[in-house]
Amino acid sequence: MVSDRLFQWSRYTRAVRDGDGSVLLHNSFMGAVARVPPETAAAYSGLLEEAMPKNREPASVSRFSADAIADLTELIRQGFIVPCNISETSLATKVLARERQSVFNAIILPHEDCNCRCVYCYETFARGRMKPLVAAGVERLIARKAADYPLVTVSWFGGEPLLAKDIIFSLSESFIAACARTGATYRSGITTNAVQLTPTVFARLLAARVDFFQITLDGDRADHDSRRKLRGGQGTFDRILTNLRGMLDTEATFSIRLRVNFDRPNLAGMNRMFERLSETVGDDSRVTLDFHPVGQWGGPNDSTLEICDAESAFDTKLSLVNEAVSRGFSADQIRDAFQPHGSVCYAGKESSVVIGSDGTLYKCTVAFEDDRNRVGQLLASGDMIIDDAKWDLWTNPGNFADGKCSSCSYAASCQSRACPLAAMNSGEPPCPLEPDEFTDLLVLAARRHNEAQPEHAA
Amino acid sequence: MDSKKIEAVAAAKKQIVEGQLTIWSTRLSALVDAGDLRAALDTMVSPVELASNNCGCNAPCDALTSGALQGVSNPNPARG
Repeated sequence: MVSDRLFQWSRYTRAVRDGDGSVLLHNSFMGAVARVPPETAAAYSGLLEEAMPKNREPASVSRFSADAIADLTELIRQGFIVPCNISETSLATKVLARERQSVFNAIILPHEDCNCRCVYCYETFARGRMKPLVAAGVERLIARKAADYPLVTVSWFGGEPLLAKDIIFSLSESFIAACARTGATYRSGITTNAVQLTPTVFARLLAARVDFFQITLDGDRADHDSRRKLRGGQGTFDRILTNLRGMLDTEATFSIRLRVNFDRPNLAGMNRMFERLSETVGDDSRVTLDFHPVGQWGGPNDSTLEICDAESAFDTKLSLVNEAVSRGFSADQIRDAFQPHGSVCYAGKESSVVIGSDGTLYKCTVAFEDDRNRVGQLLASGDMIIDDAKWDLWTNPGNFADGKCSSCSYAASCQSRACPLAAMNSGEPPCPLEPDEFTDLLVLAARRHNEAQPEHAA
Repeated sequence: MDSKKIEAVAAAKKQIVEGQLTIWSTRLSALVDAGDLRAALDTMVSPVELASNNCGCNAPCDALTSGALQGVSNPNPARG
């Protein structure tokens, strides 16, 4: 059926070598990964080499019949190899744009103050609790969006969102009702320091359909407590662990992303943290560990932070992921990078907005004090007054079709939108993964997948 | 999706399940597991989990610390 047609590598496919002689293929549009075993990889080495450069010009790839790749025809059905006569970029760009706009995402800051003063925090805490008129505007806005979008997602953020629990509970009730009226799907998550996430609050949040929790632990007790302190300087480790235990003692369906920020000094205590977490988390699949290097994020202590340099940070992250999974923890977020849209920042999406407690509309949750990020104002009526020129700075990267992104195999994952803030500052969209990092991460993700699913093991 | 498409998608997914070359496919898995396109999109593009990183960046790029990204940090005038 396919033998008369000519095929070529999808522009979204990239090949990398694994150490055992096999070749891994990633297709960023399909979010797919394949492993070509060593013998087959050797037999098709020339063809696979063609797919190894991150950037490839269409003229540089060869065309071949299905008969010429008899051992690889599966790759046609899986989208790694495509017919030559389709306008792949045009088709994929349309699909990705439609998908990007199929969800309305609101990141809501019900309280912009915080009960913690983490040493690396970049927030100013200048704006406090959400005013009733702003909350009324949020309620009306979401009711409208529930009629326009099939999927509405709400991320509660701050400051510390649990300082305004009552707002979360009452607005959630309204959002759920609005989505029920229109048939829109509703999903919600919260980023919280978990100090106030007691069993009672947790149960109320679950009832408010908040079922994703991002909670941070910065190493073992002493390390964590010296970094994530209450306003009065007291540690938070024991309270967080107690609350975590309370959550995991339930049979409820939810997920926790335990974010672990690492710097140079706290690495030594990571093993003790793993051991302590093993006692609390065990093999509970509701918990995923996520490692991030501490950065100089704009806070007052930046000059004193002992951060890892950029090169060692990535290697450290991979070794922490390896250690975590070898101890039975889930670290599946490493696969996110390989999904279509997986490296697109919410700030770059046309249908995503951050709503401040005073009704200020932002695109990004880092640069709250950057004027380019103050893109509008939410009115009590639910109308958003948007500065189109500023909005466009974030959502229209401009050179998706030109420049380095036009020939990049990773383009469907990042869509030139990995970090619009960095793009604005540097004049071009940043690459979310350096070539070596891409290879290391893909090899790790593929091996982890095989280990997790022994029936797929090579 | 029409039945022909569902059949094609299911056949493609079967190749993954049978463990030949493809290890995973987010798009195919979302389609097959969800059974319809809309639910598949819910699975694939929902940013709830990704939007929550408190460094402000949802991408696993560590954009705020990467040298390649020129050390972007919060341009916060209040903090000098």
